[in-house]
Amino acid sequence: MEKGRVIKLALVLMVLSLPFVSVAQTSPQCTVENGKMVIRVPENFTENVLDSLLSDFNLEQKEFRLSLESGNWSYFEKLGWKIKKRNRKGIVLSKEIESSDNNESNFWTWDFKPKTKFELQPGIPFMTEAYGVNRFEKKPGVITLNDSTALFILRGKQDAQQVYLSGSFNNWSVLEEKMTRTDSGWVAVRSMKKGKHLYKFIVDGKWKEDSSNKLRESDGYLGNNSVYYQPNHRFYLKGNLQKETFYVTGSFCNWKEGEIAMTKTSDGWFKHIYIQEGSYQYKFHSGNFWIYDELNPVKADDLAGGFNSVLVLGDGQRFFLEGFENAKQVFLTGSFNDWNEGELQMKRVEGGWALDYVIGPGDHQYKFIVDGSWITDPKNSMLITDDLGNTNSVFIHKPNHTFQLSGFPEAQQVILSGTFNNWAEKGYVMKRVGDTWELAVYLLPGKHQYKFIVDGVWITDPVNPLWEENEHSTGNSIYWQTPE
Amino acid sequence: MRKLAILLIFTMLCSWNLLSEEEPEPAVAKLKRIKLSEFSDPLPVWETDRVRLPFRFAGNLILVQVKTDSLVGDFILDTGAPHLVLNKTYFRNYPMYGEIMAAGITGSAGTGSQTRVGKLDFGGLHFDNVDADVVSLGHLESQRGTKILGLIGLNLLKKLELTIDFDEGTLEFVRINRQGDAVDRLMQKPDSLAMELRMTGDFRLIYLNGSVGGKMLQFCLDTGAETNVLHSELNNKVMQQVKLLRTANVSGSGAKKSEALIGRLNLLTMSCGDYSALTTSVMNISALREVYEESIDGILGMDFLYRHGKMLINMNKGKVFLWKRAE
Repeated sequence: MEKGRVIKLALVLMVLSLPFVSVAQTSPQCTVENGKMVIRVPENFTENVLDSLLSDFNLEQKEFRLSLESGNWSYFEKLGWKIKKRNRKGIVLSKEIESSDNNESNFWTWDFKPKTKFELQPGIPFMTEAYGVNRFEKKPGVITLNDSTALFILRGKQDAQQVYLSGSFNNWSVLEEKMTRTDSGWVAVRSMKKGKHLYKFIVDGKWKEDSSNKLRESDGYLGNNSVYYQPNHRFYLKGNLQKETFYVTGSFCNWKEGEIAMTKTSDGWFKHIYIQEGSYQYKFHSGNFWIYDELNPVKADDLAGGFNSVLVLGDGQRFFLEGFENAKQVFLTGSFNDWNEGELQMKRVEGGWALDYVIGPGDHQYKFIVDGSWITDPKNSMLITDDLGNTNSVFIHKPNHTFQLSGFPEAQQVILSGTFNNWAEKGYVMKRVGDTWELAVYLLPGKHQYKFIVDGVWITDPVNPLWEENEHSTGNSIYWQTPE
Repeated sequence: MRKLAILLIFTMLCSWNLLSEEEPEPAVAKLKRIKLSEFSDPLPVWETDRVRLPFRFAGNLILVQVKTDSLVGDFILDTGAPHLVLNKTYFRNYPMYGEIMAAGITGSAGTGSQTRVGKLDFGGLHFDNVDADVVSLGHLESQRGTKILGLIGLNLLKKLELTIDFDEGTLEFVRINRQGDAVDRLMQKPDSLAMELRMTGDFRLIYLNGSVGGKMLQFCLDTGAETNVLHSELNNKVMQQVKLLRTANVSGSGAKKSEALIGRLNLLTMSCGDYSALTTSVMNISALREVYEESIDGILGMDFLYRHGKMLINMNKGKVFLWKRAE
């Protein structure tokens, strides 16, 4: 290339790059210089870049704009910022980065508040859908033996010295559950609760996923946990053997078609499945051919001239609203149906309104809607106020832990307060049973902190040796709920 | 009179949204500062020369299942802690032999205690009569959602060789001879992919040298720290290598608030290679620097270690080996 052309090309490149240079010059920046946090805002700054910078570095946007306009930076000066105005070059804010030392104690912690809350803890089974079906290769790593027992199989690995089974069902123990060597691999039979379980094998000290299992979820790092569902229901469809495939679908899977394939046998089709407790409607289908479950006498109108079959898992719960005889319509709504206003219409019965409904275990919040007006349950003293300030009635279905406090015979009222009810100061009133105050609640797996409020005085659980310090230096009692 | 040496350990525990390349999100984090006593190094008792133990992760922290006298549970493997630390919630009933004296550079009052665990059993390898500090780790386990009995500190690793395989999720403890070499040399010999680093300083903790912006810095290698940390008062040439992304939304359990900036370190050069785009927190760790008997400029935490598939620590030889992650 000629020298002249090279120079021309260089000039062109310089001209083209000018806009970028100019953007860089007018972009506000945050740096650390001489131990200080420094914010530089050039005079001709880029608006949206400044906004995102202020947001990223926790500077009050409105006050910053006001200060820029008025030239009065007292708001930021009070926060420890030093301001340096540079004519035609904008403004520079700087602030000492203080030592991370703390005079108050020799051990302390900082919480970097999360922007988003973790819903899923790796290793703890959590169902995001109402159902679960197992998906294995031809030779499965887990065989469901019956309602409450499963056989775990690791094929091969004959040269291994020791194989362990570790999972959510044994609290991920790495030392406790040895598998037995057989001709073709390693096996373990164990009792299983109905529902979702996570597991891995440990072969001579090394983790191993179940390679035969197509269902897996992240273990929180680079690997995966295998997922197994101990079923609680079996769908069965007689005959129809001329079809090549058959599926079951229903409200438990949002009526997704072609998702849950059934297995063909000599006399029909079946599917083992785990479905969370609740009330559902379902049908079988093969392509466009739909059929309800003729072996199930409970049916509901499918609003298309046919029927859906009805499946109810779990115990029904009767919701009852006393009085309101003159009301025209009453609906039940709650956390169990996503606060749907028009789904659960109550029936007029003697003395009030009633609805039998199946819900899963848990602390459920609910309200009645009487001719459009939302009310709490007047017969239920258990109330909770949510983060938005709404007060709802609370119904604890199938509690899995009972808190007890012995003594305090003179007390008028004892309230249970903890992380599980957002440290409620009312609502969770304990009942006097003999010489003990009791309240049964439903707790999710994991750590729970709690205290009792005895006639307004907060106390830790006197018989629980597990407690930890809190910010009031009074301590909170600790209870760990193990996964079921 | 027994001389009490007091160490301050800062451990930064952050978890990042590793998927987000643009802006790492400090989801949950802790900074702990423990005033710890100086204990002798416990002697391992071996059933076999080599013990392999699977571990789990809580966030980015390594959880090891250990049997103590009466409990079985998870401990965090924390090379940033000089020795065993027990969570007060579960060891409150142990006889405490003395409060840690008030100390620290600020003369603050001590809240920790010391005790002794009769047996600490890793399965095939155990320690007898291990001295420990007892402090509350309640915040840590609440945020992790998992029970944490304590921290396995570095002095438990001084009389053995340890390989941490991040990809396999295993720890391998190997007996060493008087020269500090693994007795099972053939199997333990690091292969060609291993990169050797020499420890610097007094070996009380794992100190390694690295260079940023042309300046040589001393880092503490800390498996109990989820993110890396750089001291905010380092030379401007060092700080120019950090692209700051945001302020961490920090609220202390004490009344005082501190600044912590989250950024990305452009380039760290170590004897084993170059590391780019390391998520790093910039904070003022002056207090830490004053009480360490070594001057430290920063912490290399799990965010650094995850760049490797495996790490071998031999405190006796003052060596660390790092393996490149298998592709």
